[in-house]
Amino acid sequence: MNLVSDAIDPHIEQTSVPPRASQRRDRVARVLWLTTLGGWVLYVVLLIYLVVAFGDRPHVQSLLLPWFLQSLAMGPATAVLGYLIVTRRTEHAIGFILIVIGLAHTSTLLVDVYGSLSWQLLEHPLPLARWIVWLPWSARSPALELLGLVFLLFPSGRLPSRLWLPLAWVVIAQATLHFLGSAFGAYPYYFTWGEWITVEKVRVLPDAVVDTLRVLPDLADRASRFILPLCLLALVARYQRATKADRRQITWVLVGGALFYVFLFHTEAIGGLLGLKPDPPECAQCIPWAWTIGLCSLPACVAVAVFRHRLWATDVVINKAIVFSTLTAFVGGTYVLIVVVVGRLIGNAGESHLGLSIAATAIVAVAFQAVRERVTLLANRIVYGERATPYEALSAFARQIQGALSLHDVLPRMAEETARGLGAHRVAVRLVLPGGEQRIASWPNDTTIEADHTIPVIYQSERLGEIAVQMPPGTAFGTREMTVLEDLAAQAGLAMHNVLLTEELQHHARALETQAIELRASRERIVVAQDEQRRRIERDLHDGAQQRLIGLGLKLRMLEDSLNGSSPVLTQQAEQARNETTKALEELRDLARGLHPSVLTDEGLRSALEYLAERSPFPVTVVCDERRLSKTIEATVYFVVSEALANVSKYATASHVSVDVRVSDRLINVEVRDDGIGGANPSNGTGLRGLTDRVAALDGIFTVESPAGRGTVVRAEIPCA
Amino acid sequence: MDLTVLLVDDHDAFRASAKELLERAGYDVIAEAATGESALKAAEATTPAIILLDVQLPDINGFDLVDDLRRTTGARVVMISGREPSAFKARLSRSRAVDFIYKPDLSSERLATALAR
Repeated sequence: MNLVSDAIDPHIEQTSVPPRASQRRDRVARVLWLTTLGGWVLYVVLLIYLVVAFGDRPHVQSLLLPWFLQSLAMGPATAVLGYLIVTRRTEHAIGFILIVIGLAHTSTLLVDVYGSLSWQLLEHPLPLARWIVWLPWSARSPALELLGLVFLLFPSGRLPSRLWLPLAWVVIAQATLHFLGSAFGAYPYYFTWGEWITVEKVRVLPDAVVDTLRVLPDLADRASRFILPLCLLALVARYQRATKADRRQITWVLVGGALFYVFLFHTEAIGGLLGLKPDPPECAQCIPWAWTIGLCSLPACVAVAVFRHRLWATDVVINKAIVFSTLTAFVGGTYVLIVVVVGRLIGNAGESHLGLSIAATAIVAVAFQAVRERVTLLANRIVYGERATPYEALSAFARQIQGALSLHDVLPRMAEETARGLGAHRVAVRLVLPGGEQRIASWPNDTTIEADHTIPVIYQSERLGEIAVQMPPGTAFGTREMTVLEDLAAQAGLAMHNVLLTEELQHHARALETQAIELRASRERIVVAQDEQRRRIERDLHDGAQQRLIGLGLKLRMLEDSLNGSSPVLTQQAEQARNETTKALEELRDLARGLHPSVLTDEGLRSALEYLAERSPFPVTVVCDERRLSKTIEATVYFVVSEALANVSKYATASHVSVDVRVSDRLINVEVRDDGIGGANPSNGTGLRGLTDRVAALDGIFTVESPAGRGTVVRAEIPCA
Repeated sequence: MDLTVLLVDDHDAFRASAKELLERAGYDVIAEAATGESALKAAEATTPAIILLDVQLPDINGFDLVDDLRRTTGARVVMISGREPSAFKARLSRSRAVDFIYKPDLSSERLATALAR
């Protein structure tokens, strides 16, 4: 039994139990509750026998119904409840306590009938009656006193705090001493069926010890009047700090415990208040219906707390139980209906009818799958209501977030699917981005939430965000919901991680794109600046050195005129000087033209290309639109053609070159085609590489096709939009 | 024969050299201008018979000034430039200027030839 004080949120925490120990506990619990069930079935058979055989004896008829209800509530119902809890929380002490109470109570009822038959109803005692009755009968009250532990441990299976530990030990000591006193003290049996009698029990100890022990049951009974309320106080204390969902569960158990206490320990008073009659009348405290109410109310309330508020995730077990029991009823019912009812109708009652058996088997075989599906749906509906089953919730969640990679998609989908999976009223999902920025999505959209529960979303030990859930009013957030939410949060962790990765990638992609745009703009700015600088240098040359040389040439010409043949030597020197000046001027002009052709600026691309054509040593055909373009584009096209023609002149030995410049709304296509020897390698030489960079700076494409012996085609495509 | 000349060019050194060269050859440089606007004013004021007009002026392309100058003075306009004539081939063919002289080739003989066209 685990009596360690619990954590703040006790039943969310799961104590880890080794699998083997868990299986052993489960096996023991199964044996115990099945034994209880078997004993109760035997008890019911004995009740039927009592009614049939001794129905005319006092008390038999009047006690039948209350005793049957008590047996059902405190026997199999309590044991089954305990077993369900054990299956969901193997380590949970409450499950075993309830099973023990159910088994003890059923044993007591069985020996009650056995004793009555032995000493009241039959003429001779049944075999070993005194020994068989002895210990089980003694365990009845002590077993009920163990309910104090249930109050102390509910719902977490642990005490509210260490302060309650002494009380737990008091309950255990009280039940133990009560059992010892009942079993070994001079405490008689009371039998109620047929007549009210007492029977002296087995004495195995010396009289002095027996007389000492006989006081214990009375003391224990008196102590229970104080100990049980104290145990209920533990529930009140737990209620104070419980969550909304836990409070609903605790309230039910408190009500059940209070009814149990009042009807069992203040039977006379409450019986008088409610007008319930004692049976037998001479025993004022013997009010069967009061005991029945007291004994039935507690398991009923605990059952409501467990099932209605889904404590300890018992819904899966209940779900399966509904499915299996309904299918069993279907198989059996179909067989009985066809073989027995139909057989009787067609006159084969009492005889085996092979045809009907085969027909029944066939119908069951054919309809089984369809019935199973419908029953499963029905069970889901009963257990989960509007919520999805845990499997449905997880698979729907996985399906919904599978294809979504952006924040805008994933978080709302997570919120919606979580709400569906839990039957939640509202759900909010929060994701913390690497920079600390947050993204929050809620379902329904843009609603605020008063969270019943919040769970962190963790991926590889890193907290990525959280999911907050608000359940509908009156609906508990129990262990089943917690389990589903934990599973959803685990999946959400992976999804959020993927989203963050995608976001990071997109962020990097956007940064790269921005850098690429900036790089293109930067290259274009460089080209523009270079062109501008070339134009400025060309203008400076033209306005400066070129004008001075022109002026010098004119002065030399005037000097020649002034000499007028008077000095042939001076005249010759002046002429030579003028020729040198002219050569210097031509070189300067070529230099300026290489930097930037003024004709391009003044007359446009077509004139500039025609100018190039004229200066070429081979025939060049120029086709060019007269439309003016930006200075940078015109310069680029000009230099493409100029470089191509220069290369033709140097290497191609061509007889003809065509220059074709076509301008559309978005693109300029430049093509320089020659009929030379081809075989040009674009990677050789800085001229073509420079042009490639220049065209690329304008987002254009520059290509050279130069198959050997088939001429060369230089192409440039430049966007101009 | 009226040999009065208006010399339009934005380079002072060239204007000085050209003026001296032309006057030695018997031309009368009656006015000079460095811009298109001042050229129009000088032409209107002096009505020269010959105008030597630079293509690249600070405020206007010389070719765009030819019609106005002719309309104002009726003078024969000869385009001049330090750049090669082939650069202005298209414009020259459309212009009402009588000829084009590459500045380094400027001489009284070349001007006479131009005016004779």
